[in-house]
Amino acid sequence: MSTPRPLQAPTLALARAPRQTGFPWLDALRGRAWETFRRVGLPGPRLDEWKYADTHPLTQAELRLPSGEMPPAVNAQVGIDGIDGPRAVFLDGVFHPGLSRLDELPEGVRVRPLMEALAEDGETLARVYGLIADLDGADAGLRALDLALAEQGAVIEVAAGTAMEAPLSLVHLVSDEGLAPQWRHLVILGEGARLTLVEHYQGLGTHWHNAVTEIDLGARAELDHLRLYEAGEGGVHTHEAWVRVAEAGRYGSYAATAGARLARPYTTVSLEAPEARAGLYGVYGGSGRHQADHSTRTDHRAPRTQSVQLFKGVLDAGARGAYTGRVVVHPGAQKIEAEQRNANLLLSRAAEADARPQLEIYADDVKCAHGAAVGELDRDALFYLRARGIGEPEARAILTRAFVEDVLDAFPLPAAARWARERLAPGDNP
Amino acid sequence: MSSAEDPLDRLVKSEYKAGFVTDIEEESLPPGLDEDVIRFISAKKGEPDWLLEWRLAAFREWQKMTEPHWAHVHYPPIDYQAISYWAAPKRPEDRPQSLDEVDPELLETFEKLGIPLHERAALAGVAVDAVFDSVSVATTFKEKLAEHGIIFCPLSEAVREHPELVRKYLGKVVPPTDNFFAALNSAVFSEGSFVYIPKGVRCPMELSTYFRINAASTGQFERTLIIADEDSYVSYLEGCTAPMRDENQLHAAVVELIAERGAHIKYSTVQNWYPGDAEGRGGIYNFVTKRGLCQGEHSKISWTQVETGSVITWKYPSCILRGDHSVGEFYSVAISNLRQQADTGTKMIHIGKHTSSTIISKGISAGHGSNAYRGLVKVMDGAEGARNFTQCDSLLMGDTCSAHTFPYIEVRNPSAQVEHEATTSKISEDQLFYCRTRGLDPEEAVSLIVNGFCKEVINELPMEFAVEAQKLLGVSLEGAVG
Repeated sequence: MSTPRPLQAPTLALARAPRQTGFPWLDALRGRAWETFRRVGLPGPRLDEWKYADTHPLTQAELRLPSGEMPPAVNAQVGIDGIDGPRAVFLDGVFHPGLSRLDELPEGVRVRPLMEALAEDGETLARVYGLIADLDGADAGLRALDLALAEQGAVIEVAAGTAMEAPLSLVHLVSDEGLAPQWRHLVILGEGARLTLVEHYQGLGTHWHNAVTEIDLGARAELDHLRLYEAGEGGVHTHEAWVRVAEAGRYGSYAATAGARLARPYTTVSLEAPEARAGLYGVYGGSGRHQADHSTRTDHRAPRTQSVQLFKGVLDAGARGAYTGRVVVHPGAQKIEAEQRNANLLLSRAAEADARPQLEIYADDVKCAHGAAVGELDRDALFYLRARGIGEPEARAILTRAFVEDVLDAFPLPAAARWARERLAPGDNP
Repeated sequence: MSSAEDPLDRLVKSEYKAGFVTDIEEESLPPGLDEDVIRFISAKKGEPDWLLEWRLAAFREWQKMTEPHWAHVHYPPIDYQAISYWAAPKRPEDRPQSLDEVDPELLETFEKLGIPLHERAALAGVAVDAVFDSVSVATTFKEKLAEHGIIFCPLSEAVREHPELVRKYLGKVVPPTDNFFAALNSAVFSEGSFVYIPKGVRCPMELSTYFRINAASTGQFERTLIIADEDSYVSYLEGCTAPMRDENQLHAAVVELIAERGAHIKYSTVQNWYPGDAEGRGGIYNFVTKRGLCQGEHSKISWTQVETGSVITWKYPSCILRGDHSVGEFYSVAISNLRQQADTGTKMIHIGKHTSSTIISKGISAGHGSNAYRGLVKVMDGAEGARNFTQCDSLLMGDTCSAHTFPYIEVRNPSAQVEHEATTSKISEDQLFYCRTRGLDPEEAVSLIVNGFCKEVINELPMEFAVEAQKLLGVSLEGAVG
């Protein structure tokens, strides 16, 4: 061959077997993950879990792993207006201390770059790292690849009884064409600890963010986890959050995807002890060739656990949005409550909405309900507004905004809700 | 029912009521499947060459396919070479030509099943095509139907007498390569019913088929084809039973419905195959492909099913809504008790404009049963103004059973309105207490509550079937709640 073939995702992975880190436990773990990835490969529509996500862009695009060198600062805005507080910024695949603000952390809160933390506390972290997000199942390809290759990310620890008021942000920005960074974050909250965590994924041009966040919540710990994804038609964002919740702990996920060739936030929550709770919220939208695939899996493993899910999509010409939620109630998990709601607004003909709210129940004293709906803007409501002298585009914007508002109401940071609203339902914002 | 009896006692007595074996001389092939077996079946039926070729093509495709395992059911691997693909009561030449000639023992079989043909024929005006193992035993009321131009006969007879119709429609809705079990059925189907309702005819009576697997180690692969020509109407009932046996038996049927412009087909099933025993020994594997095509404008296909039997059920009666303004309906009650596993639901494919569909599914799990609803609602981009309403409810009785819901909703047209609702709950102590205080014993109370839970579906059944279905519900759940 005279011209080199474009470096495609599988080649990208094959081109770079995991580097030795010098820590035997970590190298063994990465080796196992690498083997898993080699065995199951990239996910594709043949997997039921990936039925509604087109992974074509991953195999078509020219992608490469970041070199690991510190890039110069970029001109793009870093972070989200109105979200202040400490932050770790990752630029073109590398932790950037200059753009980060980690010196104002309150006592009891530690945020360290991934490899630094694994080097310092390997013995302790080896008991969690890479173990919450299991490598079972035919859909494990991406998280296996991530575990094998990731050397960038953050380890966040909040000590028992510590409540951090200001939100902590992880900002990921790719400005270099063709980069495919692999992220791995680990979040550990001690008993009764509280944290609001914002993960923001951004990218320009062709790029692929592949990320896994493992979260371990102690008894009565509470985490609000905001996840905001932003890219153009060249971006692919795949992000899995794996969460364990102990007794009376609470996990809240608030995901918003706007644009991206494919944005796929996947959340799996294991409610492991009585009274653990989860609230999963998501909004998605797009037009053109944008594709969003919000998937969740919630395991009720103990009695008196609760979960609530609310996901809404606004889809315009050419866009595709999917919601898949699986709630599993394990044997013996009595007196649980689980609710799933999904609604989609189709704004034009060439849009597609797919919904799969699923229940798998092995206990009898349960209250489970799910619902899904797809439709267009209410013509009567549109007429009502038009009759009051509001122009059609504005009337449509008002109704669209009203449609997503109950999800955005649940977002704990108003700035994040505003960010999502501006992207999903443009118009005058309150 | 006297409440003095020990409920456990009654459970023992209420074991599978259709589980007798009829002692009739059978002619059957040794187990195994190859092209010679298919040629044998085809020759036995005196089929034309095109049909033999059709079967062989399906068989060759089947050999390339792998058995699907996406359903939420678990069972040991099936050895397709251990099944006998042909069993028939002997002496096919002098098979009875009318009901009077039917072997008295066979009639007794149907008596035991509670479907006395005579009575049905005379009182209910039901025409019955009874399929016993692989051979159609008797078709009643044929002449009366013929007066209206209606064809109702065994499929093999239709192949002989109406080859043009069979050739035109066979495999049109469920192509031989549709799925693993449909391909197997296309290769080895041995009998089934054929119905043709001419233009503008309203079938004057309910048509009915009873299927029974009698012989040991046999599979049953019947194939039903119903064609309702323009502006016609037919209501079709199907019932099934099988004897109690320790080994599993395979039932892989295909049902195809075609409704032309303005036609309406109502298809009702009461499925009471042997469910196996409390330890999960024996029972029928019911892997069935049922699909209807609403070909013309304003056509309608309505599926109603009460699934109480089989150890494993894998069945999704579906509607392809091609004609504008066509309507698809699916009403289902599925019970999983003992070690039964059911993965059942429907597919509604909206292609035509202003098509509408309704799905009402009621799943009841008891004992160690597992019950899954799996359904697809797909609205294609040309299906302007399509409408779907889905409700699937699960009722759990006991803490060792399970209930699952796996809906798939895919919408590509903004003017579509699709709604899906599902709930899962158990019979509440309050409901039971309320009934008990009014003097009902626990089982009567459960039966009352369950019947209420299923009412929307039972109401869709023709009257005689509704009565039978209600009795079946009671029998299937006896002993489920103490």
